[in-house]
Amino acid sequence: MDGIRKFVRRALFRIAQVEMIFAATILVGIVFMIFAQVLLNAGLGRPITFEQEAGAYALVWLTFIGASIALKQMRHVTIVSFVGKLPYRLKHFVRAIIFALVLWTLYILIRELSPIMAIEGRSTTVALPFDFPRSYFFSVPLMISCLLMTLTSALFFIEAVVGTLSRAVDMTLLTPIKGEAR
Amino acid sequence: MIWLLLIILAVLVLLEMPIVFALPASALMYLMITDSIPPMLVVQRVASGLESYVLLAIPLFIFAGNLFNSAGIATRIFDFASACVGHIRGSLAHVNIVASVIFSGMSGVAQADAAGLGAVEVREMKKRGFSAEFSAAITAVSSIIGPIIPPSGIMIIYAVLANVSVPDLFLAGIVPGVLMSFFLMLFVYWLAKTGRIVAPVLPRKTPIEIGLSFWRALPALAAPVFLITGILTGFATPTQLGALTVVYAIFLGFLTRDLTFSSLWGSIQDTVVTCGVLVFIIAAATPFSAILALESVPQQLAIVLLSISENPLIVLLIVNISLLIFGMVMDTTAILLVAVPVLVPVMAALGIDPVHFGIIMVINLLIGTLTPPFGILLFVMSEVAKVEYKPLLRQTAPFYIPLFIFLIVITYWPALSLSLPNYIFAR
Repeated sequence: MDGIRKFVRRALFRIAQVEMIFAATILVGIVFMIFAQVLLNAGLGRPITFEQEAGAYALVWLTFIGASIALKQMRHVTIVSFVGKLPYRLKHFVRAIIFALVLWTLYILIRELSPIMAIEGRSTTVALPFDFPRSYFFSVPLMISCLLMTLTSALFFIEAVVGTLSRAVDMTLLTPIKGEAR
Repeated sequence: MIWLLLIILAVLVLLEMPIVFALPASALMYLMITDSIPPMLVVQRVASGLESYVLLAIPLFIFAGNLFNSAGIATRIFDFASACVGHIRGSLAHVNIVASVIFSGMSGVAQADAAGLGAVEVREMKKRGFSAEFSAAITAVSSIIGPIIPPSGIMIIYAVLANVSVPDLFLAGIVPGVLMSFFLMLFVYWLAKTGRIVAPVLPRKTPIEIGLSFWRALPALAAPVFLITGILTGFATPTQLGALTVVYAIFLGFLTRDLTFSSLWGSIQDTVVTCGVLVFIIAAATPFSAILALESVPQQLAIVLLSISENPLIVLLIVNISLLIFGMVMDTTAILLVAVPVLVPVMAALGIDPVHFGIIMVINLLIGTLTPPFGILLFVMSEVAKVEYKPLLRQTAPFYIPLFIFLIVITYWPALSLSLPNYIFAR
């Protein structure tokens, strides 16, 4: 069980690396595009017509992929209350309930997103050089983010259950995914 | 039935569910229980809630702040502030505040100020004989100046939610931001004069020394000047100015050889994750906000508030106290997302300018980041300065006095916020 858990953590870490490269490319792309827009507009009077639309879409992708990485690194804002002070097994039991609820929320989002993707796919982008279905920039990134967060949440849920059931204290459970030792 | 939504949210937050999941989870549970609206209608808004070019300024200003931190700008700013005000009674505590004012012109979030510039400030203050707890406390307090003076992530979110102009809000924050720094400096002076803090004074610098530190800090000082000029002249939008500031920070970092490719990559990674945390809350809160709107909560709240009093001054007092209480137990962005759509129409009905109300709200919520039990800046500074939470809180508590007085002044003196945008944009 421990070996599988470590394997999954390593796999999620690799996924996070790919996500980071993708998101970093978007961020750098946004900066270059807007910088070019300002230069072209001020210097040549020829602005990039699709800058605002592309920027808004890039923000959606950047945010949703960033949110998935943040979950792996456990960086999402959490109000620290009494749970951390509970006895080891009870603490993990509460965390198991929370991650079960996170999984339920993600499931509902994924379920409801499927028809939304079909509806959004009927309309296309306005100013971009090529016509893309609008779903590529709204429901698709959200769906991908939800699926990726489901994988992470499932791991955290299993770790919380393991912590609830085990008698020995394992400090490697429910820790940020930041490169695991083999 | 709206109380049910709030109770579910409160329970989930207390059980330490991340806010980004607590908001949609409570909304979806509410919809399942009441069977009032199909979930698809609110889920649809999650992604489209981010369709805003203005919001793009948030990751860009976060990126710029991270780059300035990586490029060693913090040390130059601190040295310059030290040369200017280090000799005044209170010494490095004043330097801390002035450095925050300067750095606030480059960074859009208080945490970047606290964690980046804060590390330099605490290190220097401890070296000069200040207690670690007081150093951390003044750093936490001064870092809230950051989001009041432009650029400001929280103001951009407010502007999008309240449908007001970002340049208006940015300009409206300048006078209150500078005024807040004066309030804090006066208070520090009083603390030092009455012997409540140990604050060894630095020797007064000669004009040449001040000039040299100014020269070293000049590239950093140019950033806020460039930003304000951009806003005033309308040369570029706030989002474009964000991108230009990023390019400038990279250019400056490589020019001074303080920025390496490794630290650049670190800044990019931190920006991606911070964007994923901060902006994703906006998307995650849309189902919650949609339910509040569909259940006519703003209208109901307006009726309740106006039944208590139709005097704007009293309503503002009630709103301020409520926001301070919520700020103690909830995340700033989450409160903003829930409260702005509810409160702004009420304020409009009372004739309160939405830009002025934005400044009140921003200051109020920033004070919330310093108050127990969930003051995020206290946690950040506890980590940065390696001090215990309780002694840090004890050192921070006296600063609530000038902050509350300042909040009252800003609330009941709208001209402090509105004069500059009204003058610049000739209204």
